[in-house]
Amino acid sequence: MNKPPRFADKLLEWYCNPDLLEDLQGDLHERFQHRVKRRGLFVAKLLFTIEVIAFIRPYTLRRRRKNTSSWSITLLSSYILVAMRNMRKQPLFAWINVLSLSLALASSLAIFLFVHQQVSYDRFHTRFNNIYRLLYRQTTEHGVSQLVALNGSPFGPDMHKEFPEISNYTRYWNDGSGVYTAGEQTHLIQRVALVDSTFFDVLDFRLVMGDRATALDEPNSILMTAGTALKFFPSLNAAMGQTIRERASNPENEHLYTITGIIEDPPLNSHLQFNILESISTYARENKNFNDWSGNFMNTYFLLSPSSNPKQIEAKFPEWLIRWTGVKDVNQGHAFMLQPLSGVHLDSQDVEHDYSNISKFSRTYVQLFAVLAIFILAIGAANFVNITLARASGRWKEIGVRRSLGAFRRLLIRQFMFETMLVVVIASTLAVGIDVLLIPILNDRLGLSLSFEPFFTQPTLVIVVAGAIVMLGVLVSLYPAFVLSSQRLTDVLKGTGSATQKSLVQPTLIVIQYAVSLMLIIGAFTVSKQLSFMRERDPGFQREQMLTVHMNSQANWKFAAMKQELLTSSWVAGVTASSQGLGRNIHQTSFTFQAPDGKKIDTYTSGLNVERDFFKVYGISFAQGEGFGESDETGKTTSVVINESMVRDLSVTSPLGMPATRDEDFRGTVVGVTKDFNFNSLHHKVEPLAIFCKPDWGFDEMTIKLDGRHIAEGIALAEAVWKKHVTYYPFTYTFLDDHFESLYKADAQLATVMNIMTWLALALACLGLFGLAAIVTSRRVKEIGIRKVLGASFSEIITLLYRQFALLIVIAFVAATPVTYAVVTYWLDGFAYKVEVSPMLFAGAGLLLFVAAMLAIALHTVRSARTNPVESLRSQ
Amino acid sequence: MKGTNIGEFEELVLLAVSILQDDAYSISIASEIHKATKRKVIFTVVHAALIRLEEKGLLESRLGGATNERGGRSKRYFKISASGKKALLKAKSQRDQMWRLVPKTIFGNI
Repeated sequence: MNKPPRFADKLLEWYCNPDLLEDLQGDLHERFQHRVKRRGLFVAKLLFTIEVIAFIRPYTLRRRRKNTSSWSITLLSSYILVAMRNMRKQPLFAWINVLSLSLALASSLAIFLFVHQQVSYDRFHTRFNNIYRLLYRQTTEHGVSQLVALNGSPFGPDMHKEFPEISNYTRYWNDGSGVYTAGEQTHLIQRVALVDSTFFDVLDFRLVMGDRATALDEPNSILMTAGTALKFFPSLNAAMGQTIRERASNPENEHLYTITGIIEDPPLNSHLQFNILESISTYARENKNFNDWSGNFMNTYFLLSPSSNPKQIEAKFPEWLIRWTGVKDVNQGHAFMLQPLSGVHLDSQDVEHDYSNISKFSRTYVQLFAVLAIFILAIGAANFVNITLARASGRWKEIGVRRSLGAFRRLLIRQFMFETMLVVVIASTLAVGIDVLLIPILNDRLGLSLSFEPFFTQPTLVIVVAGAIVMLGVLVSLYPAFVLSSQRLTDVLKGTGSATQKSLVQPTLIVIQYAVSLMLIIGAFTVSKQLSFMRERDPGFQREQMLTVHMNSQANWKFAAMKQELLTSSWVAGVTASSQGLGRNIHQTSFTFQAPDGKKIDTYTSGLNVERDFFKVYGISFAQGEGFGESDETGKTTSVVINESMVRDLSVTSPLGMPATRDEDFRGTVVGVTKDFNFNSLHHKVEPLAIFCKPDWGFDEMTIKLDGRHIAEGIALAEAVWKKHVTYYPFTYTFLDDHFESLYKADAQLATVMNIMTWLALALACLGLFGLAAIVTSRRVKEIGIRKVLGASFSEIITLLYRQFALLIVIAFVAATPVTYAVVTYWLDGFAYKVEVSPMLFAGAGLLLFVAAMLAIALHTVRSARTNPVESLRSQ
Repeated sequence: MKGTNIGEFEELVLLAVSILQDDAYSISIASEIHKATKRKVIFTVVHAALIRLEEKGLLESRLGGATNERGGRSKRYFKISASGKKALLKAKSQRDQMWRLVPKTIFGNI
C-alpha cells in the first residue's frame, strides 16, 4: 500500500489539534488511497500535500471545546517584539534582571547538582530500600558509648539463619591495601576488600567479565577493576583466569588467587569503593578465631524481604543476643541496629571507625547547602520582581493603549508572563553556560566531582529542573503581572498608576534580601573563623613536618635499624612509630584500673601502642610522671601512660603507680599522665586515652620528623632507607597536617561555598538596590527639581533620598539578628572546641551591609541631587 | 449568535448526516452532498462545517470504524442531535410557510 508524503503527514501532526487529529488524518489518508487508485500516485501525493496545507485553519490549530482565547502567532510575535524593544530601551534594567537571575540560577544549579549527588548515594542498587547495614553500639559501665558499623564475622550468617525476614546477607571486610605480584609486575593496590559469595546477589555492582553468580564462590577467588587488572596484565582477556600472588613479609602467609572476574569501577555515588574483591572463604577456612563473635572488624549488610519492618526485626535482637551468646546481661553493653543503605552516606556522622564509608558527609550540611541555594534564588527573584514593578511605571501608556484596543486582563497578564518567561529562559541558558565553565573550577578548588552527567542519564531530572525554572518564572511574573493589569483604565491612561508606590511588596522584598545577606555574611564569617581556629589551635602535639609512613610487618622488624640510620642525618629530627596515626579513630580497648583506695574500675578507652620516643618526637608534654623507658621496650616492665581526661574519668587524685590491667598478659602500672592533646579532629572533645609500649604487637605507622628547611631531601632519604630495608612493600607517606586538613574537608567545603554565596548574595542585593534606586530617583526628578528651586540644599536632598532605603536596611538588620544568632550557635554546637559568637561580628556585618547598600544607591542619588533644576523642570 | 438559524450549506450537511444515518462521516457526507447537488464540494469546507455544527450542538460525534486504508485511524461518525433536528425542521417550516405565501400564478402548477 502506498503511503502519503511523510513531510506533509508530519506537518499535519504538528499543527493539528490533537482532538481533531485522529479522524482528520484518517480522512486524508482514506482520500489519498482512493486518489491513488483513480488518478495515480503522483497526483494523490500532490493533492494530499495541498489538502494538508489547506487545513491549516484557526479551528484545526486551536484546542476545540476549550475556552476561546488563543495564542495566535501574530500576538506571540508582537509580544516578542515588545519585549525586545523594552529591553533595548532600558538596557541597564534588562541586564540587571538577566544577570541577577542567571547568577542566582547558576549557583543554585551547581548546589542542586551537589545535593543531588549526595542524596543519590547508594541508590543505584535496585533493592536499596530493602538493604540495611548492621550498626553496633558498645557502652561501658560509665556510660561512654561508641557506635560502629563493624561486627564480628558470625553476625551475618547467624542472623540470616535466625530471622526469616533477612533474606540474604553479605559481609565486607575492608582490608586496606595489599601488594600483589603477577609475573614481572608488583604493585601496591589500595582499597582491597574481602566479601561473601553473596556480595553480588545483595549489591548491584557490575561486572565487565566473569559470572556474577559464581565469581566469589570458590576460596582464593579475586576480582579486580579494569584499571587494576591492566597494571598487571596487557589486556582484560589476558587477566581472566590468571593467578596473582598477594605478598606478605612472611612467605608462608602469602596467598595465591585466581582472577575470576573484572569489576566495573564502583559508581562515584557508592559509599563502598574498592579496587579488589577477594572471596572471604579464603580466610574463613584458615583462621580458627575467625568466628569469634566479640571481635568487630567487618561491615555486614542484610537484604530484608520487601514486606518486613526493620524496626520489628531490631526489637527481636536483644532476646536473640542473650540466647546466642549465653550472657544474661549482654544487652547492657551491646546493642545492634539496622541502618538503611540510603542513609549510610549522610547519616553516619556519629559512626566511628567507618573506614569503608569513604566519603561520608553530613546531612545537615547538605540541607544547609539546599537552604543556601533557595536563599540565593530568592534574592535573585526578588530583584526581578522589584525591578519589573518599578520599571512598569514607564509602561503605563503601553498598557493603556493595549487595553483600550480591547486586550482583556487575561491577555495582559499573559503578555507580562510571557516577557518574564523570555527573560527566565535567557537567564537559565546563561546560567547553564556559567556552570559549564564554573563547575570544573569548583571541582578543582573544593575537591568535588560534580558533573552534568545525571541530566543525561536521568531524563526525569531535566524535567524536574526545567519545571522548577518554569515555576520560578511563574512565581516572579505573577505578582507584577497582576499589579500591572489591575489598574483602572482611566488611571492608566492618565499616567497615574499609583499602586506600585504605595505597595508594601517592594520594601518587604528589599528587607528580605538584606536580612538574608546579613545571615550569610555572619554565617560565612563564623564558619571561616571556626575553620581557621581548628587549623591553628595548638592540638597539644606537633603536626607540621611530620612524615607518616604506613608500615607492614617487615618494616616492623627492620624498624630499629631504619630508625638508627635515619637519625644519623641532620635532615631528620626524630623517628617513632605507633599502632595508629594521630587524627585517625583510635581503636577502643578495655582496661581495668585499680584506684589507690583498692577499688577496681573497668573502663573501655581509646588505646594506643607507641614506640618509646613517641612523646618526645611529637612534643607531647606531661602533667605528671614520665614516658616509657628501655625496660618497657624490652618487655621487662609494662607501663601505661594515661591522659588528663582519663584521670578525670576515673576520678582519682594520685594516678601514678596505679595498676592497669588489659588482660592476663598485660599487667601494667601507670607511670605518667600527659596533658590532654587532641588526638582526633576538633569536632570531638579529648576522650580518655591509654598509651602503652609493646613493640612486639606491631606498629602500623612510622613517623619521621623532618627538619623544616630540608623537607624534600628528608623525604628522599626516608624513601632510600626504606627501600634498602623493606623488600617489596612500597614507601607510601602522608604529612600529618595534610591528614588533619582532610578531616576538616567538609567544613572547608562549607566555608568556601558560604563565602562564594555570601558575596554573590550581597552583590545581587546591591545590584537590585542599584536598579531600584535609579527608578525611584528618576520618578522623583521633578519633586527634587522643585525642592531645589525652593532652596533645598544638596545634603537635604541626599538625606531625603537616602532615608527611605536606610530605614529598610535597619529593619532587615533587626529582623535577621536573632535568627542568625540561633542558626550560628546551633552549627557551632557540633564542635567540641569552638569560637565565640561576638556582638561585634553582628555590628561589623551590619555596617558592611549598610555601607554596601548606601554605595549601591549613591550614584543615582548624588546624580539626581546635583541635577540642575532647569533640566528636570524644563519639560513643563 | 444567529440563534438556531442555519445557513444553506449547513442545512445540506445536516440533511446529509440524517440521510446517511449510521455511516455519516466526513468523506461519505461530502460525497452525499456532491451526489445530491451536483456541486463541486470542497472537503475542507465540509470538515469545517461539521466541526462548527458540532460546536453549535447541532451534531454529535463518536470515533470508530478504523480501516486499513485510513492507516488504522478512526472515523468520526456524526449523528444529528435533538437541537439539530429542531433547527432543520425550523428551516423547513419557515420555507414551507413562505412557499405557501407565494402566489400560485408565478410558478404555475408545477
